[in-house]
This record gives sequence, C-alpha cells and structure tokens, in this order.
Amino acid sequence: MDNSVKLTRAAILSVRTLAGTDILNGREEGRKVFEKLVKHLESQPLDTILPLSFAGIKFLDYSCADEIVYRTISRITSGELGARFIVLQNVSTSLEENITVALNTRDVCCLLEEQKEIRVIGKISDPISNTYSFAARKGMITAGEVGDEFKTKVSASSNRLTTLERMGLIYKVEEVPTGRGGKQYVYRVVG
Amino acid sequence: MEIKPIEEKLTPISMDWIFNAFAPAWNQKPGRRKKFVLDLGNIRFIDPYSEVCLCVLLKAISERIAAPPQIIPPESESVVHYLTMSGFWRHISAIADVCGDVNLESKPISLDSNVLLELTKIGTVADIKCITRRLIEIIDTNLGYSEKNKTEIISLISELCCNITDHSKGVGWVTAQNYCHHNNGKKFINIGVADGGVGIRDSLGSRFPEAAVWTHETAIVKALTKNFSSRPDRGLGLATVKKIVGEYKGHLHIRSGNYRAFLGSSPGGFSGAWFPGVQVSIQLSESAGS
Repeated sequence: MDNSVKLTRAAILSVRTLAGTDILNGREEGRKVFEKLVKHLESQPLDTILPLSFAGIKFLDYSCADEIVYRTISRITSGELGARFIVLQNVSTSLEENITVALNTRDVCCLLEEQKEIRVIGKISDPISNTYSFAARKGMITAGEVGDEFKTKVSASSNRLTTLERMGLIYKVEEVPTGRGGKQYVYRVVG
Repeated sequence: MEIKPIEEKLTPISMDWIFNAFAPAWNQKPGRRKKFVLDLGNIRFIDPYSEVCLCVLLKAISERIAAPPQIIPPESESVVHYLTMSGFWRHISAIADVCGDVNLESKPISLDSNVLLELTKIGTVADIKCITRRLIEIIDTNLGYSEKNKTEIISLISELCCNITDHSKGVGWVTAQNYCHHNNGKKFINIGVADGGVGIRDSLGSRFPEAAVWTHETAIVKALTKNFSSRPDRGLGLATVKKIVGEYKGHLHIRSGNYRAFLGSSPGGFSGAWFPGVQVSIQLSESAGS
C-alpha cells in the first residue's frame, strides 16, 4: 500500500484566542468563533488535521457548542473543506458534556484527543463505533478487512466505511486490487 | 385600579391570576394616566418566576400607561427581607412606586440565604457573561451539586437568557433560589426567567411565515420540539432545556402570549390573558440529575 498520503498536523488553534473570552454564551458568540475557525481551516493545505484546543475555556453553553463544533463538523462532512479535519483537545468534563449534547441533538460526532488517545464523542452507533475502533488500531483499512474482522458481507463492510467517511472519521487514500479481480478503496483514519 | 392577590403564594399558577387582572391595562389608550396598584400585602411566599414576571409586568404597565404603577409590599417581614436580599426592590423601584418603608438596596448574599442568583436584568450578552461567571463561582460542590449538575444548571440559565438577547427584542430578568426540602433534605433549585419582548410566536414568525396563524400554544409546542427547525443555525435551546428538565424529573412552565404550558409529573396547558414576551419557570431536583 502507498502510505504517502498522510494527514499533516497543523499548529494548535486556541478557541480562547479566537473568542477573546473564557466564557462563551449563545449562538451569536459561537457564530463569530465558527467563522474565524472555518476561515483558518480553509487557509490550511489539504490533507490537514487541525487540533482545536479548548484550554482556558471555563464555560460553553449548548448553543455556542452547536455553532462552533457542529457547524464546523457539518462543513467538513459536506466536503466543502476538502480533506481538512479537526480534533478537539483540552476539553474539560463539563465542556465535553455540553459539546456532546449539541452533537447528539444533531446526530453527528467528532474526534476528541486526550493524552494522545483519540476517541469519538457524539452520536455514533455501536457497529460503526466498533468499526472505527478497529480501523484506528490498524491505521489504514479496507472493506475486505472489515468483512474478515466482523464477518460481514462486502456490501455491509463497504457501507460501514462509507458511513465513517461521511462522518469525517476516515478518508480515502487510494484504490487497490482486491486480489479477486476487483478493486477496493484503502481508507486512513483521521487522527 | 387595585389588584390584590388572594393567594398567599406567588407561583406560576397564581401569577396567571395577576396577568388576567392586569389585562384591562392593555386596552387603555396609550398615555392615559390611570393608576395601577398591586397590593402584595397578603403574600407570604414568592418564587423566582413570580419575581421576574412582576418586573416585566410592572415595566410593561409603566410604559403603557405613562405613569408608574404602585406596589404595596408584603406584610410579612421575612418575605420583604428575602426580596431585599434578592435585589427585587432595587429593580422594582426603577419602574414602580414602592409604598411603605422598604430597604431598596440589596445586600450581599450569605450562604444562609436561599438566594442562589440575585435578580439580574438581561439586556446584553455582557449581562449573561456576568451571571455565568457568578454562577461558576457560587455553585460549587459545597452546595451539594455534582459537576454535571452545575454544568447543566448554568447551561439552562445561559440558554434562557440568550433567548432574551437573541430573540425577544426586549429586556428581561433572571433569578434563582436554592431550596432544601424540610422533610427529606433533598435539594432543589428554582429558576425564573422572563422578558416582555415579542414572544415565541412572533419570534418564530421571522423564520416561519405560517406562524402568523398559529395559536400561542402551537408556537410553544413547536419551540420545544427537538430539531423543529431544519436549519442548522436555529433550534436546540428550548428543546434542550426541556430534555434536561425531564432528566431531572423537574417542572417546566413556559408562558407566551395567552398560553402557559406545564411539563412535569402531570403535563398540561392553561389559557389566560395575553401578555407580551416569554416567562419561564424551572424547578430541578439536584439528586435526580446526578
């Protein structure tokens, strides 16, 4: 497999710096942070993952979390931003609760990094979550490998990977022969 | 015109009676100088919802009739003292004539007081930040709330206050009380938020033209529905408030226009006199949300 397509980690971006305050209330304030965040993300080269740090943020209500995190994830998963992703960092327990409420309400999820371990927060079904965990252990994955691991048919395995890609948790790297006359995509885990 | 509640307790239910009693004020020609007097002499208990509703009501009356209404304080010294601690008289004195010898200046809240958040006027996001910062300081585990409780309580207040600045096109008030049940020692918190702005139906009308033919009841139900608006930049606030209150097995009253919805152990709705804005009461039991 060609391992040349790899995500570059951008410099950490601070929500505290974007917001100019440690207390974030309401949709209007969240929208201002979102606009700065997306502008910054758009300025990054393709194949980039941007760590978004919440260090120094004491409070973030649901509406603000919705504007900052959900809207950004929505832009990423729509494909508008190309292969550019985010991972949340330095998220306290209370912030994680409110971010998770916002994500669950919108039926989306995102990545959170804690002590160099990455996990998914928000809305994700068990089969998809298990597939992601498997993919994260391997780093790169194909539908064939998913089928072998979970004893699922090719179509079901492909659907799981398509779902993970749509959620912004994995991305396509290249297409390779299956060895049985067909081709399959190789995906890399975001993170 | 003198209004004197018969009930000794001011709660969402008895406040409906006061709203109904003041209804003739809206039918007066603007600027007509007819004195309105609110006599609270009988009152022996007033909850946060009633405090903020009275602020909004008296402000609306004073603007409508171009003469400050009068308010007669409760005869109960403990109630007058509580209202002093919460800052009620200081706010009311700016919009109404307070009869009698009442200390208009609020005092620093002591830990022995059940005032969790003193009465605060909400007009800007800066006001909400101030409240949030204060709540983070005072709601600590010494009050028996877990970190989860604390986050949820502050978030609820933030969401409701942001509705005032984002949607109401008016000003409002917020206050909260912290209680301990006499029999079982269970802690609970009571929050009141009110504004005299455009109300839920008109606020939704800016995004949904069909709202013009909705009843106020329909508008409230729609606002409480998860993901009611398919647009990503709307919704979430009241629906999340409802969800959190449900998790705490708490009570939620939302009044807008001529309708008050109640969500709790026996949900229902009550029609009454029209009044501008939105008025919300939340009661949460601390342990249920842990």
